[in-house]
Amino acid sequence: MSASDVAAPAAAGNSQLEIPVQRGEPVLEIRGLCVDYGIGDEATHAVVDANLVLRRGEVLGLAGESGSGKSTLAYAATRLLREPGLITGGEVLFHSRPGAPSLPDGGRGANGGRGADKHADKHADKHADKQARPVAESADLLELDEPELQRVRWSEISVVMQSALNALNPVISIGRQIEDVLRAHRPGMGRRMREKRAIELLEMVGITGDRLRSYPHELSGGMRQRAMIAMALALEPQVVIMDEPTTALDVVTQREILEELIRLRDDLGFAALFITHDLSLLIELADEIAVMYAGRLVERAKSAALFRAPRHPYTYGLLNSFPPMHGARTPMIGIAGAPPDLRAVPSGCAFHPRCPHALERCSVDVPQLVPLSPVIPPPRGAPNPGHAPNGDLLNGGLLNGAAGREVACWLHDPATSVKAPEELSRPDPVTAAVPDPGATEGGQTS
Amino acid sequence: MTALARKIGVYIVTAWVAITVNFLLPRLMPGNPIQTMIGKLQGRVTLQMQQAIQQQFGIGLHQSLWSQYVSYWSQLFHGNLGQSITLSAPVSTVLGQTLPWTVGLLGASTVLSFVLGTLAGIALGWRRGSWLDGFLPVSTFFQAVPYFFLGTVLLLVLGSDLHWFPVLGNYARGLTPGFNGPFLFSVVRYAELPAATIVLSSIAGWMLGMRNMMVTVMDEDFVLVARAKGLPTRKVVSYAARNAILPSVANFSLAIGLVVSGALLVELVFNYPGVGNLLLQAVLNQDYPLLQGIFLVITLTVLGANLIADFIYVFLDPRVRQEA
Repeated sequence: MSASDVAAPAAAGNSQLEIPVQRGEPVLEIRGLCVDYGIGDEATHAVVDANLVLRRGEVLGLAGESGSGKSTLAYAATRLLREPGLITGGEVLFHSRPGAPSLPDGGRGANGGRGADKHADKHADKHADKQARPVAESADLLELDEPELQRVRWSEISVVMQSALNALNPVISIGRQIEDVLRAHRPGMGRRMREKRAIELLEMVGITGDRLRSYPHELSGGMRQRAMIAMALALEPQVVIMDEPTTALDVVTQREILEELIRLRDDLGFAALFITHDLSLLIELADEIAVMYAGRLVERAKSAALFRAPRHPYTYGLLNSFPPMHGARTPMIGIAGAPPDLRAVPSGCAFHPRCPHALERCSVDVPQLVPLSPVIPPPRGAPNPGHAPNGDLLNGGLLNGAAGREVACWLHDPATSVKAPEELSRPDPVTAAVPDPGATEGGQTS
Repeated sequence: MTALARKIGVYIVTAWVAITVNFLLPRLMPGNPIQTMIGKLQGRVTLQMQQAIQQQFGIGLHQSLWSQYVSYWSQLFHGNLGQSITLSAPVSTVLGQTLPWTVGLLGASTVLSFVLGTLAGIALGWRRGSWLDGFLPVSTFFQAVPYFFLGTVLLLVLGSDLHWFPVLGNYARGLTPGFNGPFLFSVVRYAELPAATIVLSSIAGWMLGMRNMMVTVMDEDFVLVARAKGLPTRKVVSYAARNAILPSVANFSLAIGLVVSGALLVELVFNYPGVGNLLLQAVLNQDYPLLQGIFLVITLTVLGANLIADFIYVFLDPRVRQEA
C-alpha cells in the first residue's frame, strides 16, 4: 500500500479543515504484532495479532483495563519493551513525512504565537538535512538496527509517560534533559541555541523560562508533566506515544494537561497514540479508539461512534465504568468479574466469562477483529425501530457504522442467529453524519 | 546552602563530643593507668617524660577534671598531642612520620578499588546476564579469602619466588627519602603488592553494590525515557549510573575515613610502617598518649571524610539540597 493512494480520498474528505499537515494519511501502521513475556511454553501472550493504524495528526486512543496489554503494545511498537518482553511477530511500519528533505514546517508559522520558534526551526531544519533522511519513506521499526533506531527515536516518535516524576531523571535539571535531546539529535546546534530552544519549549507548555535549571522534584505534578510534554515535542516528532499521561494527576490538573495537549496537537499537528483506561477521557480527545482486552484488540471505531454505539459488550461495560465528563449523571455499572490472568486466558473469546450476552460459541472460538458489515442484516424477528437516514442504502436494515468499524464479537457475526442486544446495536452516529461513507472507508484499507 | 551550614554545625558538635570522650576515657579507667605505666617503666622514665605524662593527664598537679579538660584543649590547639611513652618522642612527630605512608598506600588503593569496582559494576549492571557476570564469583572469591592470607600468598609467590615485586618495607634501603625520582619510584614499587592485596580483597564490594543499584535503577522510567529519546548508549548508561552511584558515594566516604586507621594485617604482612603497625605497638605497650593521638586523628579524619562526602552528595543529588 503506497502512501499516496491512501492520502487522496482522506484529504478530500477533510479538505474543509485546512490543516497544514495532511491528516488522515497513515504514519504508523502496526500489523499482526505479537508480544510474549517469557519464552517457550511458559510464555505469556501479552499482545496477540494487533493491527492498528495511526493517522497523521490524529489521536488514536488505546483503552482497556490494567493488564490488557495496551502499554505493552505501544512499547513493543517503539522497541522500548522491557525484558522479558519479546516481540514474536508482526511489523510496525513508520512512514516518514512526505516530501522530504525539507520538513513541512512552512504552514506552521501561520498558527501564530510561535514566531520565536522560527529561528530555531530554521536551524533545526538545516541539520535535519545534514543528517539526511533517517529512514526511507517507510521503514519497519522492528527491522531497524540500533543506530537507525536511535535516530528515529524522539525525532519521529516520542513518549510521554504516566508519572513524570519517574520519567524525568531526578538528578538532572529539566533544562538539561531537554538539551540532551537536542545535543543528541541536532549535533550542529550550539549551547546557547539549545538553551534558547529549551526555554521556548517550556514556555510553549506554560512554564516560565526561569524554571530551566529546576530539578524535577522542585516542580509540581502538573508542571512536571508539562515539562515532560515539552521534552517530548522538542524535535517536533510526528508521533507521540502517551502512556496514561494524566492518570497520576488530580482532576483539575488532568483537565489542564488535556487542554494543553489538544492545543499543542492542533498547533503542531503530531499524531498521538493515547493509552488510558479512562474511556470517557478518550471520547473528548481521540479521533479513533481501539479497545483491548486480554492482549487482543476487541473493537475499533471513530470515538463518537464507539461512545454512542458500542458494539462489543466489553466496550459497553467500560463506557459504563466511568462517569462522563459532560452531560447528565448516569449510574455507573462497571463490569462484573476481574480481568483474566494472561497465563490462563479463557478459551474462545477471553471476555466470555464476564460477558452477559455470551453465546455457546464464545467459549470455543476466538472471534477475530473484522470489519462490521455496513448494515445490520434485516432483523429476523420483529422489525427494528431504529432510524434510517439513508433508507435507500440500508434497504430496511439498521445502519451499523461502515466507517471502518471493526469488532471481535460473535454477536455481530452475520452467521450468528442471535440478534445483538439493543445496547450493542444502536445506530452509528458517524456513519449517519457523513453522507459519503466511502470517503472515510477509503482510509481503512489495512 | 543552609543545609550545608547545618551539616558543618553537626560535625563540629560531633568532633567536640569525640574529643571529649577521647579525653575522658583514660580517666574513667579503673585504677590509675598512668601510675601503672610509670611503674612499669620504672627506671627507664626520664624526669622530662614523667612531667610530660603528668602534663598530659594532669596527674601530680592535682588539677580538677575541668581544668585538666581546659588545658587538654589548649594543648590540642597548639598541636601538642603529648609524649609517646615507648618511642620517647612527641606523638605528633610519630604520627607525622607514619601517617603519610598509610594515607598513601590505603588512600591510593581505596580510590583505585572504588573506581575500578564502580566502573566494573556499571558494566555488569548494564550487561546483566551476559558473560561479564562471570566476573562476579571470581571477585567474591577474592573478597572471601582472608586478606592477610591473600597478602601472604602474593608475597610468597610474586615477591619471594618470582621476584616480580619487592618485598617487605616501604622503599629500598639506601635511597634518600625526598622528592627524587629513584625514591618515588621505589615507593611505588614497594606499595604495589600491598595495594594489590587491598584492591583485590575489596573490589567485589564496590562491584556488587554498583551492579545491584544499576540493575534497580535501569528499571526506572527515566532510563526507558533516555532510551526513547534516542540518546547515545553512553549517555543512557550515564543517566542510570549517575543515580545508581549515590549509595556507593556514601560508602566510599566511610571507606576513606577508615584509611588512616590503616589496614593492620596488610601492614603486618608486608611490614609496612603505617598507622596500623603503630597502633598495634601502642596497644601492646599500653602507650596511652600515642593511642589517644591515633584515635584523635582517626576520629577527625572520619568526620572530615564524611563532611566531604556530604558535599559531594549535595553536588550529585539535587534532592538533598532541599532537605533542611
